[in-house]
Amino acid sequence: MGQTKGKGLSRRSFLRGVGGMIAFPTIISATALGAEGRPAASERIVMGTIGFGGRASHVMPAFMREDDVQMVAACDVKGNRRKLAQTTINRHYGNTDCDVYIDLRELLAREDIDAVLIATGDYWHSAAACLTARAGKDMYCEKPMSVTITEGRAVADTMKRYGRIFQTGTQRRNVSQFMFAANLVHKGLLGELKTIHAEKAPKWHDTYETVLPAEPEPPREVLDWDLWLGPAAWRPYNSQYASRGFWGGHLDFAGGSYTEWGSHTVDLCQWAAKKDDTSPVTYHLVGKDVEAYYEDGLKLVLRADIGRGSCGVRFEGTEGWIEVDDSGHIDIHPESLRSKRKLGKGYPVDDHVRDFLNSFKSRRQPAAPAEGAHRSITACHAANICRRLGRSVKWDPVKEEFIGDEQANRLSTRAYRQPWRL
Amino acid sequence: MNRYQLIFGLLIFGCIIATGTSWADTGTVDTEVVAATKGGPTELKNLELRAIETIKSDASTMEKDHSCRILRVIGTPDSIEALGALLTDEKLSHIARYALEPMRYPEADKALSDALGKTSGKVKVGIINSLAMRENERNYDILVPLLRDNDTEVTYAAAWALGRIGSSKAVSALSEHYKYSGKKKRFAAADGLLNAADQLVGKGSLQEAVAIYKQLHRANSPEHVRMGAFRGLIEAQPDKAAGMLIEAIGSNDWKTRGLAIDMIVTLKGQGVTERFTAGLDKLDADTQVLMIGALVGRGEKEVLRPVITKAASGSNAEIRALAIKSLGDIGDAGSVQVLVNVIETGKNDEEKKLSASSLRRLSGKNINGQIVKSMKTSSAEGRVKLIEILRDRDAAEAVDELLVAGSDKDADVRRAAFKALADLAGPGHQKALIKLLLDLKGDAGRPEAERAVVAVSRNLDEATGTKPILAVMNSTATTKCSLLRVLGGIGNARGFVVVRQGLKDRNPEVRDTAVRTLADWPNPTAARTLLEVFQTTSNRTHRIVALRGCVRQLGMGGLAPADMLNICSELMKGADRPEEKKLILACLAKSGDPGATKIVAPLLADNKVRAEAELAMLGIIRNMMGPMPDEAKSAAQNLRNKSKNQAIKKEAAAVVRLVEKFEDYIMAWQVSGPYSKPFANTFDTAFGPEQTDAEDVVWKILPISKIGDRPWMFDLQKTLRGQRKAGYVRTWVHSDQEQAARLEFGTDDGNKVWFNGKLIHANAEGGAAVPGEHKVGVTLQKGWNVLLLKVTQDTGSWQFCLAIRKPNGNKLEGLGIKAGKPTK
Repeated sequence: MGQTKGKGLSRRSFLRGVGGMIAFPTIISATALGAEGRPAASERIVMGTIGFGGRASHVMPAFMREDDVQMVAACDVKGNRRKLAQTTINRHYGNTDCDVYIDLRELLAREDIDAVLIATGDYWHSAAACLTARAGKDMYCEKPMSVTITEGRAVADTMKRYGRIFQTGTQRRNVSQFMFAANLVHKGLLGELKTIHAEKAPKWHDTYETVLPAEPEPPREVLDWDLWLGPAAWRPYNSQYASRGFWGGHLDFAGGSYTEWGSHTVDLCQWAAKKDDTSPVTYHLVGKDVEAYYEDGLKLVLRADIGRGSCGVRFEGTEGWIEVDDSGHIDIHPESLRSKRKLGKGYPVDDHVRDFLNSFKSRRQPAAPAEGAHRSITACHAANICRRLGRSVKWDPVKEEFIGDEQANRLSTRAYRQPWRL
Repeated sequence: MNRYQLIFGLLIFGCIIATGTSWADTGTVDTEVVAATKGGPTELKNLELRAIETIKSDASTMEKDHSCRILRVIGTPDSIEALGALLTDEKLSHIARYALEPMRYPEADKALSDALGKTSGKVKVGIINSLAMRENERNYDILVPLLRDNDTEVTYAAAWALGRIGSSKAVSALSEHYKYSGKKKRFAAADGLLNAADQLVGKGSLQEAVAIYKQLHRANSPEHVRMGAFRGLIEAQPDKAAGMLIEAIGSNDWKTRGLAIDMIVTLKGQGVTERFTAGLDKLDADTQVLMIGALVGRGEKEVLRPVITKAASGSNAEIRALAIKSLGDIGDAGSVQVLVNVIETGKNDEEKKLSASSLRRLSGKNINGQIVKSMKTSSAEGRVKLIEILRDRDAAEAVDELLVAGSDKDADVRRAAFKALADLAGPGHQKALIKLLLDLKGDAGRPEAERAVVAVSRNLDEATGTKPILAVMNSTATTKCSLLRVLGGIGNARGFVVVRQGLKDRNPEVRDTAVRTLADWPNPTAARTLLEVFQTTSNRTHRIVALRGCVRQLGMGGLAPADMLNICSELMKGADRPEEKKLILACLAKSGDPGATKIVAPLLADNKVRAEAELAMLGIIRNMMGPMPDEAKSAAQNLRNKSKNQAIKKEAAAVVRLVEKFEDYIMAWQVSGPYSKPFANTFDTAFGPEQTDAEDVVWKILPISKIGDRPWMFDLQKTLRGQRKAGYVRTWVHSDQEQAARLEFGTDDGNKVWFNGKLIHANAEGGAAVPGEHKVGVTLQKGWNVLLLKVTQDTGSWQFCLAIRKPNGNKLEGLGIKAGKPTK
């Protein structure tokens, strides 16, 4: 007999089924539409971009493809990136209106800007997010939202405090193959959920705090070194720090393998398990992997080599399992659970961007709000601390501190360099 | 190269020397801390003392930086004095705070406080920020005066710090600061106050918090401060929350209105949904839409259902659409007819689609029964939709009604019914379906009806499934053709006999159907019959259909190689057009049998098909490489020498080079996997290939590895992929005599070996695949011996290699290897 579960559901209805969300219409009325169907200029969401590296070069165009967005400004501490951002924006709109800034505070001071895309280096995300909220703007902030647990808590609290819309750049919450997998769990089709597996990135397992030899600092117009460092500890300039391949594994600037992909995959696991408001309570080092357990006994495994592509997750229940990743290939058991709908592959960002814009207008929290992102990245940070200390650690998700573990608690936070604060 | 470039180059070179070839130096702070911790209290103390000593010495900035990082993790009160001394140093102040900020000792507060008076500017701001992060109420006294500091940045930091402290005294100071400051300082004070109020709520001091929120929730506050204060007022006053939210929902401030609506979702209390639904229809359309979304999010279905049901037939299109969608989430059996009505008489296609989607999602008791009931009063178009919905809902209880719909006068209804029956009907419905097929007038719905009979019959055993069909074969030509196609779809031996007889039927329509059905046969059973048709028919169309069908079935595998080659050879003899020969050559290319080369060889001289013949020859040679490396090499050399096509020559030469690296390893394997099972150990778990009665075990040829000079080291990771899985490989070994031999193999990770069905070796240990690491003696029986190897995968590489050698390790000549069950 044919299995047709899920067949024929629209992407939107699917989304609602997964996240308990509902599609909100825009508040902008149809009569306010401008030329060529675009909302009138006064009705568009005016945006700026903070940081224009590899990630922003994908996400910012996705924003600009939305008719109700007008990107007007870009900020980057690197001169060539500023120029590239400006050129990209001006070319898209066919004008010369885009202003550029070295210092994000100048961009955030503009009262005409409603929202920003934050796509800086990882270590800048939290500080930039808090500054943005205090400037009264909403934000789409790239993942990971923090590099310490303290940062994440501060971001979540600040967003709530100011009633801000914060969408974490964990776009897989709006990508069909991952939504399908989470929906199987939500509908109980895998039985009782027993183990969830989250893939860590293949690189940067061994993080480092390397100090590179000093090089002469470039002029501020080329690279503002002090601003590049931002809240991170000072060190003499070396051109290699600013390379993504280097800072991604450096503990002053990122969290390595666990946060690089874990910010996506642990997030997907917690989402599927409906644990957006908590984190595992114990973490154990098993070889090069970390196994963690939630209070109810659910097991989370952070490991490599899940699925056939990048950012794989595996959900195992008493009645079945599913393994899914960016390749679009789905391993599933029993086979009858396989979707009859054609699911996507890759990790396109457009739906996630649209989701943020809808939330901007409705003020309803988007698919990946700050609290959920904080709880999932907390699991990644805790796993990292477990790995760094080479031993098990216990976490209290209510008090948000490690239990009886001074070393772990100290690694869960770190002082910002002056004058930055959360 | 200018001077700067030279310096840059030297520095980078120095960096490479200093850090080694890899950036990943594993982080010396972690390494030192972990080692000292493991070493015990004395080693830990010594590490701290060394760090303190470094800080106090004239060591370089970065050496002191490193020591502060160590003290951040392990520092005790003993280190605070030394760290405190660094706080006034512009370069080192931050890294000293790095260590001091997370220390839970009051001495750390004192060190930070003491440094305040000795610093200014950013350094002072940094110290205030650290005091803020420590959230110690005792620091209140030193922070309050800083609100009046001449340095504006210092005042901002102080306001932030007092907000984090959040005590009553801190709130008083901030409130005063808020009242009497200019715009920028006023915002900093507001930020502090909001933070403080949030903390007061957490501590249960609700009245104090409400006072702050009220102070900030004023028209002249910045929009986000107002929103924050509004949110605070709601959370701090649960008894007034609903009323305040209702008021806010009616306001002109769209952001506050949106926030209010969002807060409805999580608002606690009795009767909340009722209160909000009461005035719903008085709100503007946009707000109603948002409200419906929020109320649905609350999940109180019973209360909300009547309101949403009413909205589903309202006048506003947006509200109507959302209500129709929402019914899918909160509706019950009573909602079915409402949604069916939309399908029947909806204002537009979008609404009809939404309604169908909601009907698919509806959960609860008797939904399917209600849909079936609604079918009876629906239009034909509506019935089609409802049948599709029942199919998607897996509504097995609707089968009886679907059988009725199978004889509906409307063709579309019949088609939809048969499609649904193919999915939903069970074996018990076979006869009813056959009857519907027999009674069918015209062709509308016939293919769907045939597929439904096939689907149901396939779930029955051969005799039971076929008998009722054979019993009604004596029928009209049209019906007989239908039944032949059904038998073809089932594809069993009994049906094959009947369809074959159809080739001799008097009726040309039946004969045509028989040829086409045989050509579409789902397995290679019909290949030889199709050859006969190809050889004997005078009907040009049947000849082409038979050839294509025959070639397709030969490509399925499953026929004995000798049979397959024989059929190909016969087809080739009968082929008189290049297109026909090309089809047969493409089929032969998949063979790995030397016999295939004999069929292909003559065609290498035929200009019309030479290119295809060379490709076929290359394909055959590649498939021969594993089981017959010497023969493959010889054939490849021959092809390389004779072909004029450079690409073919190059590929053939590559085969020769590869075969020369095979040594005496077994290069022909079938592979099955990957296998895993939740919560089970892959090494101990007996997956399908280990079980004699297992069904659904799929074996395929394992590609030869491309691992550099070691093609005999098979890469299962590339073929199967994964982690914590198991894979199986098997091959057949032919020996001309009974003789002693030794399996020499290596696996990454664990392995189990079965020889002629008997487990002869097991090793669960992981690690790299080392050739010859495992040596197991076996006795080769005369004839074919079957070898099964299980290789488990933990992490990283997943490989194996295996050779069969003499007991003393020397090469064993004369063995035949075959990656597939020998036929004799």
